[in-house]
Amino acid sequence: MLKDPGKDRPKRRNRIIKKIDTAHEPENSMASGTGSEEAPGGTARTDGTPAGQSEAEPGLTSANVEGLLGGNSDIIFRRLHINGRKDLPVTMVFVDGMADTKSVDDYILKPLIQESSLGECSSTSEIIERISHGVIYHAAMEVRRTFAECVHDIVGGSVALIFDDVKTAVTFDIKGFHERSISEPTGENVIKGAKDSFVENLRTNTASIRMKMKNARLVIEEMKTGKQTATRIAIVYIRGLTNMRIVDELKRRLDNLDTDAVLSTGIIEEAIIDHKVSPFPQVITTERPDKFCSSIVEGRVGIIIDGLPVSIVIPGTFDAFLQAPEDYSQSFIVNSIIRLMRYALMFVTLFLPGFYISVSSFHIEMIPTDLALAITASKEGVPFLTFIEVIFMLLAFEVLVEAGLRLPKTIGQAVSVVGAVVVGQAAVDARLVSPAVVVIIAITAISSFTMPNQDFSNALRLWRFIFAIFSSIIGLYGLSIGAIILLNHLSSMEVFGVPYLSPFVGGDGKNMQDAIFRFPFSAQKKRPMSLRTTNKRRRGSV
Amino acid sequence: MRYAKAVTLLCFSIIGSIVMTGCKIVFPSPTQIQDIEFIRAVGIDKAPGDKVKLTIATQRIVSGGGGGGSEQKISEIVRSEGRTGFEAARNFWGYSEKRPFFGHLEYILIGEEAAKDGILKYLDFFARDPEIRLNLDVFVVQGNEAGDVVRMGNARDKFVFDRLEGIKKHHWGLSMINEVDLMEIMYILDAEYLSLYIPCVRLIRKTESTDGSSSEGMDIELQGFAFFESDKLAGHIEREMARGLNFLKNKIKSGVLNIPTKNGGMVVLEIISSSRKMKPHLKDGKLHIAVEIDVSNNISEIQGSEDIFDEEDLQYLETRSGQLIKDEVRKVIDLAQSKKLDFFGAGDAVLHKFPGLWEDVFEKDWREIFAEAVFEITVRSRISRTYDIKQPVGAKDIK
Repeated sequence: MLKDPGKDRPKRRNRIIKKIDTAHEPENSMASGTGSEEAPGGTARTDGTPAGQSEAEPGLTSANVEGLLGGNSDIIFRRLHINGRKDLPVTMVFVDGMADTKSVDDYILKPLIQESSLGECSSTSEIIERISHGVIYHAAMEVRRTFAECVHDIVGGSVALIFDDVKTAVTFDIKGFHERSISEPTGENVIKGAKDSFVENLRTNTASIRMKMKNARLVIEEMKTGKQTATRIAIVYIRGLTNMRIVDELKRRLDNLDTDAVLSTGIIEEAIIDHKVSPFPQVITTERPDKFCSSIVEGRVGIIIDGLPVSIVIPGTFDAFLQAPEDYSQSFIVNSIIRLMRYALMFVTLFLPGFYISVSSFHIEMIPTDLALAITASKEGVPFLTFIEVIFMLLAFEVLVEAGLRLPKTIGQAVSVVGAVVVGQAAVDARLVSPAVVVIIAITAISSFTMPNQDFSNALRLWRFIFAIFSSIIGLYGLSIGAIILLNHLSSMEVFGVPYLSPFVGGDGKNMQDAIFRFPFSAQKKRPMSLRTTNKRRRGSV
Repeated sequence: MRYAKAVTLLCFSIIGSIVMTGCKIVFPSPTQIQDIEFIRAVGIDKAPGDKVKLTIATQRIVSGGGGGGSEQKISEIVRSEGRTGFEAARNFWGYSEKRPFFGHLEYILIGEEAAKDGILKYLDFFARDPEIRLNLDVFVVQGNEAGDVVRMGNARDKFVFDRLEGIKKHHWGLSMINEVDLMEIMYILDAEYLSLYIPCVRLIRKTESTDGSSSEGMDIELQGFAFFESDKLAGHIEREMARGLNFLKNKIKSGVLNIPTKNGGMVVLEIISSSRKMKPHLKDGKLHIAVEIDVSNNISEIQGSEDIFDEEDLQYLETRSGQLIKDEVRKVIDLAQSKKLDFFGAGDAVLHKFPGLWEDVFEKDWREIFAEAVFEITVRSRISRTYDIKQPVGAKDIK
């Protein structure tokens, strides 16, 4: 079998890694990767032998390619004669819709038919020689000598010229897929701040990052995962700043990922987190390139997945889930107060239903007398236990949230109006729930909406129920036991070797400049200590 | 495996923390808030046959029906008798579908007869029951049964506990009362050398009401303090003397001092702050206690058109007000010494100054020594601020 030319570095299993160290790399770095040993369809985990040596590998001929891809209506096979010479046949293969047809016409087909210098060639290998030296003018060009590589390029959107006699193909990356343009973020809106968001195209996303960080040390490595999808995944970090142990560990975990398809962040997230049984998010997901970049600068490692407008940042620590992108465009004084409020509301949304159950069923003496009388009056005629009422209302709220999410936006609003106003009022009037519980659940719900991260908010939602159940058994004592269990759970968690509760644990409380309060930027002298960056000081030169 | 271990440990710690609390009932049964009757005030009386009579005032809010907006606070008075306080309290259980709940009890009124009988046996239940707050305020009733005060002091819109709340707030304006809570009572009864004092109320006939609708009914009025020998009522301090005791207890918040001027006018001083120091010392083998009171006043009212804003007049006012306070304090001390009851806590000062001597000499017969002790009272009254320094209307020489 033929081997890739110039491919002398040791192969690292099935991973394809292309390091791009400058911002001026050609657009299609992936397709021009130094080598793909994957069989079509991508065996994400092979036994380590290069695919070229595998026995089942068919020869790189147009017949074989057609045998594999011929049945597809969207794959176009064109048999051509270079410069009209019948002795120089070539087969052009590309996926209609993925390759830009006009570019194919202008830059490949036209020179192939019209360029007289190609007609002077005596053999196919001479033509390949000339093509690779620029007779066909396209920047991203690759000479393929294995069947697998060639097919991979074709399904990846390239145009392949297959020369049957020398079993060689030349592929051009002329992607012309219609992608969504960069639009405003939908989930993480800010008033003062960048309005761009990630899109589905990996390359557009990496370009967005490069646009924001013109840094020669910014590294965007790529690898492929997914047996059926062969999805490209980019790992982003800054060389000389990021803790390489985290990067290496991430690569190891992604390597070990054995999956059919990567069509959501969940599969990657689940593969790389340490504590799979925890409801708390351990990675930060964001659709904002600016948030992504600020995390990278802080010393975290980013992951971008092709086909998803969401990026992942690791390691996700507790404080990061309470930081909103808007935080950094406000005055630090105002922002510190808001941040403090957010922390307080986190406790409110977590403990309030349980606390209410506790004090109204076990510790009535704790409530100020007038309030206790008011609660009693509001509960007059309600047949259910407080616990049942609270759980019922919490569930009703969850149902409303879920219904609002699933329905189209316009109907969603109607649901919330019907659910909250009509049903809520009716339930109170019918003495099914007491107004006090409605108020408690409303406060809980609104507090939970202030959480900047939805995954984090969901984890709190779960624990809220646990606390309510504990409280209904033994009151505040149960609530305290629940809180201890939660604290124990959180403090025993580590994400990529970083304590989950940092900077509140470890670091002797020295690294709190961007935790409960946001200090002025000039006072934030160090990057998060727990990330163990190689470049410890912010603004420090590498 | 690691998880299994962690889960096992967790289970053990949860079970352990629940079971090993010392509570016999591991899972207490919850009480729904709508199933309890809030008791706000209780009157304790001695009933014939050495029984205890409790009178409770409960409170609840009922919706007026229709509209839903008109909610009304109502209060009910219930009486019960029992051989002991606990039995009497349990006898309440039968009267309502709701459980009587003492957790929100705020006021205890002790009838005169019960106070003379010795309050400790009546109060023990309230201090012992875990449900009851220890910071509730205790009052003694002069001349009546506590039950009568609870019953008759309860008007349709103003309940007995609201009235007592108002009386308690006197403290901030007049300093003629000083709330004494259950914890303090127990502490004082524990310390043998101290004597107990409890604020005292009485029932008066309401002759004129503010809205003019009904002049019938009774009202509760602050009487002063009652002081005790051990736990038995020993006497009363009248309302006028009550402030003197508060000066001695260092519990003055504010107050009014009416000072006649040289020319027959009247200047009213408002007490802003007061601090008292008790400095015991021994002189010629006798215990002397120096009582130093430092008072700061404002001029709040000037009757007449006399201009008093000069150094001489102000100094005069300071001296006169100092004298006034001194007299009030002296009266209280004289009363205490004549009864040999140290209800303002001179013993504490001596104990802290001479701890060794206290144990050897004073503690044994402190009451005698207290009665013999010489109290040297010095009052420093200052008019430190004068609000607006504004000559009164009609002053002769307006500057």
